[in-house]
Amino acid sequence: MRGWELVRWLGLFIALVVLALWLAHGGHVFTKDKQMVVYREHDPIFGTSRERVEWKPSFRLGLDIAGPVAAVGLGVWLLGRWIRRRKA
Amino acid sequence: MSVQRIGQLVLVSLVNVTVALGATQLPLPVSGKKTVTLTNSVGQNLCRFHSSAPLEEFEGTADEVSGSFTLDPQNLEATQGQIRVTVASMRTGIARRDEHLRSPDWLDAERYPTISFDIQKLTDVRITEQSRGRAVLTAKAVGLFSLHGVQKPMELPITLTYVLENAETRKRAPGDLVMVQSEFTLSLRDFNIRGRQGVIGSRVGENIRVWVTLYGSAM
Repeated sequence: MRGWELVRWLGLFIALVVLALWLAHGGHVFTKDKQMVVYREHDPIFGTSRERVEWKPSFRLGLDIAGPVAAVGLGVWLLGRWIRRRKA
Repeated sequence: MSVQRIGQLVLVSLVNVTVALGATQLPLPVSGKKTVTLTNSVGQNLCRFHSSAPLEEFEGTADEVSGSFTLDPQNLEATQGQIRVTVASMRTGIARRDEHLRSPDWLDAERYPTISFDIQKLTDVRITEQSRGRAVLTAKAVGLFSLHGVQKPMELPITLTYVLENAETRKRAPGDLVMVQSEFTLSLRDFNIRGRQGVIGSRVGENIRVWVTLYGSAM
């Protein structure tokens, strides 16, 4: 019984952590593995700013992964709650 | 002043007026036609694009840009050439989406490996800035845009900066240097790009905003 309680709260914890991480990563719908970095500098020859773009590896969690993981975590927590009430 | 001399002056003036009406001259001491070849040693040749849809906004780039165009300093309207972008060089920040982008459902990079714009002429040429050794002009580049096997006549607004060769420019490339910037919108439907069912309009915008910056040296 105590083990099941632990699993239940672990499920909620994982769901909340994943959702917090998703928000911290910008709340994107789809998970991104690269980020566009734009370097701007003044170009004295052309009299404008010159841009240079690079793609750098950068993992940003999207709802496509965070959503199902959070749903499973919440599901475990709700299931545990239901079992506990049924037994009480 | 003799009548003959006056006649010559009038004739020269008339010729100048005729040329001025039909052709715009580059306000720099450049003689003869120039071939501008794109090169990254002058600056990063780059296409950036932005898609806006209810489910997602994303930006992407294509950095394999090549091509050349001829520029007649006495008749800027007669500019002609071709700019090509390699589809395989397109990036959007998600590796799987990049693969989808190149797949037959989307741009079909295997059958249509390049996106190109054939410049046929310039219209509405206006010199907007002129300083020592540098001239800036705006114009519309008229030509054929080829994407996904579909050719469409388009007029793209451009800003062209021409810089005469000097000690500073030689550090990047020999010859005069040229920068061209353009910003326009492409409709996916116009180029028969349908994608997977339900994706356009929800995850990918129907219209894609494009920014292009080209750098080349003129010889």
